[in-house]
Amino acid sequence: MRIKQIVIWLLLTSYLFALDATMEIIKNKSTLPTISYAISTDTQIEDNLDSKVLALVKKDLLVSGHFNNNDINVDNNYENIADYKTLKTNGIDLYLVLQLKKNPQDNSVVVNTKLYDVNANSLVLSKSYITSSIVRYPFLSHKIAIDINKYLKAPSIEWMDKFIIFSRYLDSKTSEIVVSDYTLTYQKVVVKGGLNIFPKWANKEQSEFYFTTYNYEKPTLVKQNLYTTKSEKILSSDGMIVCSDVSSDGTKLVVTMAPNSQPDIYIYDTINKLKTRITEYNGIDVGGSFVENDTKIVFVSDRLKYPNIFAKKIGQRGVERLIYHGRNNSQCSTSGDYIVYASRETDNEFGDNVFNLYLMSTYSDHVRRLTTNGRNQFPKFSSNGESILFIKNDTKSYLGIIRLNYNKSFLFPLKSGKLQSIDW
Amino acid sequence: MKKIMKNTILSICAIGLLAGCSSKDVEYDNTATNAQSVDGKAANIAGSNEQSVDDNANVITNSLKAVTNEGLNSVESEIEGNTVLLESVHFAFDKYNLTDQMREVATSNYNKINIVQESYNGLKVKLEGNCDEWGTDEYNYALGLKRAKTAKDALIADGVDAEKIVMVSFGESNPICTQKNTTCWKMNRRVDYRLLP
Repeated sequence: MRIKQIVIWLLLTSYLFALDATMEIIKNKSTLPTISYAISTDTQIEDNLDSKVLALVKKDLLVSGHFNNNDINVDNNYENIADYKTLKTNGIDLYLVLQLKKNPQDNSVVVNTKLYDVNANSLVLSKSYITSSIVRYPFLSHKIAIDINKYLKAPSIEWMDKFIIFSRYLDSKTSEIVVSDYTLTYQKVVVKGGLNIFPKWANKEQSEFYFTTYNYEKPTLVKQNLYTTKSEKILSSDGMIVCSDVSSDGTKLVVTMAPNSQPDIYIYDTINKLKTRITEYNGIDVGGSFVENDTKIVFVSDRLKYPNIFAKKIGQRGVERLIYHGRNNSQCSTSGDYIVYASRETDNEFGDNVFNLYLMSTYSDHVRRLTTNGRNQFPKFSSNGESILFIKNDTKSYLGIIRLNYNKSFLFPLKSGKLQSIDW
Repeated sequence: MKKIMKNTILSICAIGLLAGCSSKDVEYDNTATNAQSVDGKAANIAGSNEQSVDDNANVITNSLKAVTNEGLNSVESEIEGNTVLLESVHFAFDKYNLTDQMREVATSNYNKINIVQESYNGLKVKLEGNCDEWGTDEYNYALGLKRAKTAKDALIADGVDAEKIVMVSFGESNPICTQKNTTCWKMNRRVDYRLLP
């Protein structure tokens, strides 16, 4: 009965949070359940894989915003029942034990897990996870964290198991496209050689992606299958071409291109292979994305003599200014009726080179600042709109995640190269 | 008020957990045969697709020269033993218009291109727009293109056939100076002129 009450309250809570993401901030962390972890005494595995898996589970649950982590020493024999008394004494609500085993025949790794509800003196979840390749261990951790979170019926963190696709600059006119997990721990290069930029998932299944390559006579938009490497030229243009958004059904692309030497926004229909020009301003129009059920485009333009965010109904003439804050707002991303944009805090080269991210709704004038320092750019909403992925470039490149409903952000460093663009 | 209500709700949730749950719904799935594979999509990702890099400058050799003491740079094109030095035009921060000084550079480039085109009729000019690192990347690619377009308009105004000009923007991907100072950033805000066969 109590579990049901908790579920109802959690669901109600998450619903309330979703009502106005720009306004609500949770500040009282002490009310979250506290979880402790252990690796079983019989785990013997190379390369500290047990510690790596556990560290990522902890990180995942921390990023979720639904748990407090607290490690304490208790008997951690996998076959024994948890030491409820010690755990309770230390204020632990949940206790997770991991047991890792490697199969010497095929090098696969199995992780057995047990989750105890300490207050109920009960084992509540017992699951096993397997991977055939050690390099994919981050997905072991993400699956474990997702299942623990799911057991509590907390707001979904399924996005942790999704791929991130990004481009990183390696040298002048040289970049490669990489698929990774959200912490950048797992990485696999999927396009290399020359300048390959602006990767964008072509569908929700993440089986295909678009990217711009400079390896033909003109900048060319290519679609590539992740699993077969089969690629197809979609469009090319003098000057530049970028796919900045894909419609929710995957059939239409928002593309910035310049067939007439002029960077404008077009919608390309992948079914009938026709493109429609959306903007016709004699300056810069760039970075369009769908909003309001794909009926409207939000984009960046310098029509006020500095970059700012505008919107235009598809098929109509008028252009609406959306942002009345800042003097250099040159990037935006949308989710439903919400817009996140990057704003340079000064509009000249001698000012502080700080780029911050701001969140607003198309139905409200309220603007919420999401970052406070450094170069925070290229914001992208998660599929459920609850998180924002972004690039932070300082002395190193970082992938950042902002958990909107929890007022938390996390940075994951890129070991080499400079992040150019991201999608998830 | 909303916040208080939420905190109250969360507190109630926590109290529920701390007080314990009578339900014993255990989800068992821990035998090796029932282990949940996490390989999924990741196991099937194909290797990297190696892109071939076209090099259509097989008659003309272009090399970029950085003249750091003046904060300017130029592209040296060699055509059958003859060298043509075309200076890059530079731009102010976040701008794509030519100053009077840079307009003179553009005209000087036109004069050199005009002489070469008299001997090589099919010769084309490629204008490469570039930016400093201070922008967001997609906007920078558009800004680089607008700079190339400005250089193109100047060449057309001086007399070059529009069909003989191609443009490309490299955004911030092609810096000639990687130090973190205003002189360096100025060098990177440029359009390079290259000759194509």
